[in-house]
Amino acid sequence: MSRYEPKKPSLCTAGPLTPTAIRESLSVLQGVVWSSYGPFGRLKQIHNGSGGSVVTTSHSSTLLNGISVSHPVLKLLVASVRNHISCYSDCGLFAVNLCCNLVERSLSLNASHHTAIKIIGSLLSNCVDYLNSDDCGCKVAADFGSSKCLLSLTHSVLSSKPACMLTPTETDYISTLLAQAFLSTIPDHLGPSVTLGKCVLVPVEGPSVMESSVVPGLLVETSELSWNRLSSSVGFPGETIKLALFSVSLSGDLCDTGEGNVDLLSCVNPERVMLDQLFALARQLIIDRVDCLMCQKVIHPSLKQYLKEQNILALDRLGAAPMETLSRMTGAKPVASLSAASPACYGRLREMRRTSRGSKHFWHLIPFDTSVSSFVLCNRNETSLKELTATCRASQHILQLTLRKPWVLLGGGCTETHLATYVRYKSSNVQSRVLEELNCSPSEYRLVAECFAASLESAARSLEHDGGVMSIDLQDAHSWSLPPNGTSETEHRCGCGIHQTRENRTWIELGSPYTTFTPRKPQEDIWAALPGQLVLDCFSSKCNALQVAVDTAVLILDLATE
Amino acid sequence: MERRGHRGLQELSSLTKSVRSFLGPNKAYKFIFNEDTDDCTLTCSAFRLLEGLDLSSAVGQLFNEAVQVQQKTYKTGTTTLFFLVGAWSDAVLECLHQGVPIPLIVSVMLGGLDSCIREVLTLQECVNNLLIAEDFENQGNNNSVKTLDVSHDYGSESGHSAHFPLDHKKNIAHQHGAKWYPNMPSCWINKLSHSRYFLDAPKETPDPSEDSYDIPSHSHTLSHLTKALSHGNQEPMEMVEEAVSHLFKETQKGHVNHKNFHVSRFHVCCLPGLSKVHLKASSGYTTLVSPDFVSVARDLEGKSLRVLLLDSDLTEGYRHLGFNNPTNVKILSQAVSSEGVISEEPWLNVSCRNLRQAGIELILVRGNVCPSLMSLCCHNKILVVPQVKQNVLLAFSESTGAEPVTYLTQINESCVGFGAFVDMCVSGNSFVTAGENIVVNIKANRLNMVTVMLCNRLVSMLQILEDQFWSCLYRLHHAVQDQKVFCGGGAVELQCLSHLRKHEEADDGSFNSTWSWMSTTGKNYKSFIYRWLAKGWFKYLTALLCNAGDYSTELDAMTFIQNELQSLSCCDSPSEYLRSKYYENVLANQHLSESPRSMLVYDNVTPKLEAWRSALHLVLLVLQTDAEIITGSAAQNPILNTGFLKAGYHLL
Repeated sequence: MSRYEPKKPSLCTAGPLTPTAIRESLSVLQGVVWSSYGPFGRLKQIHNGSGGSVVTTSHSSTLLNGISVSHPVLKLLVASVRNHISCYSDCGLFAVNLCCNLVERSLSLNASHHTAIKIIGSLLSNCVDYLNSDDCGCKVAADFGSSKCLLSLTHSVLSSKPACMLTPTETDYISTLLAQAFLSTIPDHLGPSVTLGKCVLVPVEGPSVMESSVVPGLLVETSELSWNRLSSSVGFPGETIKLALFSVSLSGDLCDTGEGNVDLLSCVNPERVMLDQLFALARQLIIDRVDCLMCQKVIHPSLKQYLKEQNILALDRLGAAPMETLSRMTGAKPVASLSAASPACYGRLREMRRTSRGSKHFWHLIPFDTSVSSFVLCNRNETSLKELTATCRASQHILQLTLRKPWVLLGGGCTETHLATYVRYKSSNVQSRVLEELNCSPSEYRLVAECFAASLESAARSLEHDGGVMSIDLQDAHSWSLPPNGTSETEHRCGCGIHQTRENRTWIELGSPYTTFTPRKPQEDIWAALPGQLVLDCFSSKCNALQVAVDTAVLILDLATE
Repeated sequence: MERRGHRGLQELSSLTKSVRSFLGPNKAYKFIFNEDTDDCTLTCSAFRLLEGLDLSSAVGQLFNEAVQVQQKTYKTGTTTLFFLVGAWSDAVLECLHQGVPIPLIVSVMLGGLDSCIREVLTLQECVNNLLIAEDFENQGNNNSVKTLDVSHDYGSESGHSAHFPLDHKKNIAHQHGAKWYPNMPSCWINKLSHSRYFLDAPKETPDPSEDSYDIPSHSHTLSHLTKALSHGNQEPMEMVEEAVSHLFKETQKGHVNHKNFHVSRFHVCCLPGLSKVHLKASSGYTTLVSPDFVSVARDLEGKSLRVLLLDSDLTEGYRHLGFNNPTNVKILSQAVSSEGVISEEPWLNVSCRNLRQAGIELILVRGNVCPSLMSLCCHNKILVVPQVKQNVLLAFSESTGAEPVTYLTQINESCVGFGAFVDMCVSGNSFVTAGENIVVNIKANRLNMVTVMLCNRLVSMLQILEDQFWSCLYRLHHAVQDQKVFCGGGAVELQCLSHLRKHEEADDGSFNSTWSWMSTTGKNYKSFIYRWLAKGWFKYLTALLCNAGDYSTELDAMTFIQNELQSLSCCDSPSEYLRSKYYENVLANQHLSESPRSMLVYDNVTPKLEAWRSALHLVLLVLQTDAEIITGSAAQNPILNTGFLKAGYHLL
C-alpha cells in the first residue's frame, strides 16, 4: 500500500521571527538535550507513538536523527549539528546545548544584536586560536606511547552513555577492546601513503558484554540451516582459498529490465535462459579452480546445488555492507555482470572457519592481510546493544581523529570552565584596536564576553543532574562536582581527573561572579604522574562543535529581528 | 514530546501486578511442592498473557521485548522476570521517594546484583554425563565404590572455565565433593573418565564409613534430574524423560551430555480430541496426514522408501527468496513461424514426471503443497507431507543422505535419500486419527529424532501442555548445557538476601565515577539501596512460599524467611546450610510423607541469572529515562487536536 500526499506550496509569512518565538522553540530542544548530557544524563525513549520500536538513548546522533522538528530555527540548528556529528561523531549534545544557551543569553543582552554578533565572532576566533596555540592550558598532547591516553578516551566515551548499561568491569573491558581494535588497524609498515585498516562492528544480541571480542578478518552471518548442513561437509584444506566475489544477483531473475516493456517470444523461457547463463558461469569457475563463491545478493538454488556437488562453497546474501571490506582484504574485485568473471577478479583467503556467537552463526574469513578485523559486540537486549554499537562506532572514529590531530582536551567540564576563565580574563583588558575594529565600547565587549563565558559555563553545569553543585576552583579553573551541602570531606577529583581535592584550593559555584585570573598551566608530563585514567574529549570534535555551536547561534541571532 | 516524572516505573509496576493477579493465587511455577497441576496451566504460559495486555506504550514495549527475549532464548524464567520487574520497580520508586540520586541507585543496584550472582554460584551442583539407567541406585550400592581425590580434581578444572572465580570452584568441591563421589557406581566413573572433572584423577578404594553417609541425592540419573527440574509439571516432564530415553537409547547408547543434547531433535505432534492414553514419545517423526493418503501409507508400510526433501513450497508460482519476477515482461505468441517452438508442458505434468522418474515415494515439504499436485501424488502412490519444520528436514537429510532442494527440476540421483520407513500409528485394531487426519510415523535408519504426541480432549489444554513440555525440555537442556543446576526452592534467593544483608556496610567503591560528588556520598545510601534490592527477592520468596501452599498468610511466610535468614547468618557455611537444613525446614511445613531425597528441587543457572539481570536492567533503563519523544507528524496531530498540549506534551 502506498500513500500519496499532494505537495504543498511553499508558504511565505511576512511576520518577523521574534526573540520570544525563537526562545520558546529552543527551550524545548534545550530541555531534551540538556537532560541527556553527560555520564549521568537521563535517557530518552524515541518511538512513533503507534507501536513502532522503542529506542532508548542519550546518544547525540540517535537522538537528533530521531527527533522530527518543525520550527525553522530548530531545523537549522539540528541540521548543522547533525552535519557536525556525521563528520566528528562526538560532542553533538554539547554543540546544541551551547548554541541554545548562547542564543538565549544573547537575546536578553542589553546590546544591539549586530554588535553582539560581531563580538561573539571575535571571541570565538580568540578561543579557537587559543585552543590551537601551544600555551593552551586545557589540552594535553595525546601520548600513543602508552595505553593510558587511548583507554582514557574510549573510557570517557563509553561511560558517558548510560543506556549501554555497562558495569565498571564491562566498561573497562570494552574500552580495552576498542583500543586493541584501533591498534590493529594501524599498518605495521610506513609507506608513502598510510591507510588505516578497518574494524567492522558485529552486534550480537543476547550474550553478556564480557563475551565481546576482537577477531582478525571478517565475520559473515549465515542462516542456521545452511550452517548446520555445512557442518557435515568437509572444511578447507590448510592452503590458499581462491575466492570469487559477485555483486550482481545470481538468483536467476531477469536482471534489471529498466523502464518500459520487455517483449518476449513465447518460445523463450527467461528463467531457463538465465539459469543456463548461471551454469556457464559456474563451469568457468570450476575451470578456474575457484574454491568459494560469495555473492552480495541471492544465488539460485540450482546453482548452489551444482556448486556444492563440485565442492565449491557458495555463500549468498552478504549484503552491501561487507562488500568493500571483503574486496579489500581478499583482493577480489566484485563482479557486477554475469559474463565478466576473469581470473584477475579472484581473491585469496588464508582460512575459513565456522563459528557461532549467541544465536548467530558466522563464517569467519581470515585473510592474509592483517588490516581488517571484526569487533563482536554483545549486549543483553536490543536497546542497550544499539546504544553500545553507536557508542563504539563513535569512539572508533574519535581515536582516528585523535591520531590525525594528536591532542586531547580535558573532559568533565574542565575545558569549558577553563575557556570561560580565559575569555573573561582576556575581555578584562581588551586592546583598543580590537574595539575599534568591532566598533563597540569596552563595556559592550565585556558584556558580550561575560555572556559567552556564562554560556560555556552552563554547558559544564549541564553535567550535573542530581542536585550536586558544579563549581570552579580559582587556581586551575577546573570544574568540580561538589555535594549539595558544601564541600565534601572525603577526597575526590575534578571533572577531568587531573586534580584532587586535597590540594589547597578555593571553590565557587559555577555561574557566580569571580575576579578574573589566569589559570595555572598543567604539568608537562601529566601521563607519568597520574595513577588512573582521565576524562578526555577528542580535540577535533570539541573544537569543531564549539565553532558549529557559535556559528549557528550567530546565524540564529542574525535571523531574530528586533 | 512527553515529559514524565517516573510514570514509567509506575507503569511497569502496575503491568506486572496485573499479570500477577491474572496468574491466580496458586502460582506454582517455581516450586515443586505444589501438587495441584491444574492451576499451573496458567502460570506456565505466563508469557502468553503478555499478548492480552496493553503494551502499546513505550515502557510496555520494552517490557514485552525483555520477556520475549527471555522466552525465545530460554523458554523458562519468564515468570521470575515478570515478578522481579514489578518488585524492583517498587523498590526503585521507594529509593526515589527517599531522594536517592538516580545514578547511585543504578550503580549500587547493578553492583549488588553482580555481587549476589557471584555469591550464589556456590550453590551450584554439577551435572555431568547423565545416565538413563533405571536401576542405577541399586547398582550403586552393590558395586565396589571408588572415590577420587577431589581437591586435585578441581584444581585441574580451573584452567578450563574462565567464567567463575577460582575460589568458588574450590568451595563447591570441598562442600559436597567428598560426599558426592562415594556413592557413584564404578560404571559411572568409567563413563566420566573422559570428563574434564575426572582427568588424571587417581582412583582409590573408599573409606567404608562413607558408604553410609546420608546424601541429599547427587546421583544424576536422568530421572532424578527431571524430577528435580519439573517444578510441578510432572506430566510434561515425564514426557521429556521418555523422549530423551528414546532418543539416547538408540543413538547415543544411554549417555547424555552437553555435546549430544540438542533441542532441535525433539518434535511435538499435537493430537486434539484424543484422550491421554495416546500420550507417548516415540522415535522418528510423527505427523498428521490427510485421510486421502491412507491407502498410500498402507501400501508403503514396511518398505524402504526413496525420499525427497523440499526446502520450499511445492507450488507452481513459488520462487526462491530474492527472485524478482519482472512486472514489465510481455509474452508474445509466435503464431507465424511455429517451427522449432517447443510448447511448454503444464507444470503439474512436468513435476509429476520428475517425481516418477526419480522413483520418489516420500516427499517432505517445508511449506505448502499445491492441492492438485497432492492428489496427483496420491494417485501415483507418493506420500506427501507438507509443513515439515526445518529441523526435521535436517534430521532426515543426515540420516537418509537426501539433499534438500528448492525446485523439482533440481532432482538428481545425489539429492534423493534412501531408507525411510512409514508406519501407521495403530491403537488396538484401528488407526489413530485426529479429526479426519491419520497419524503416521516416519523413521529412517540412524534418524536422530524423537516425537512426543501430546493429546488432550480439551483443545485449549493442548496449547498449555505443549508450552509446558517445551519449558520442561528446555529446563533439562539448560541444565545439561550449563552442566550446572542451582539448589532450588528459594535457596538461591535466600542466599542473595543474606549476602546483601551482610555486605550492606562494606565499602567496596561501588560508585565508579571518581569525579562526581556522588562518589563521596555514595556509601551513605548503599545500605539503603541494598535493602530495597533485597526487598525484591524477599517479595519473590514470600510469594513462592505462599503460592506453594506452605503458608496460609504472607506474614507466616515472612516470619519463616526472617528466621531462616537469622540462622543463615549464624552458620559457618551458608551454602551447606541451604543445601540441607533449609530444605528440611521448608519440607517440615509440607507435612509430606515422602523422603526429602525425592523432593529435591533444582533451578536452572543461566536462565535464572539472566532473568534477574534483564529484570533489573529493564527497571534501571526505565528509571534513567525522563522523556518520551514521539516522532512523525501522525502522532503530533492527534495530540494537538485533543488538547494534550496542557497535559505535559511539548511540540518541537
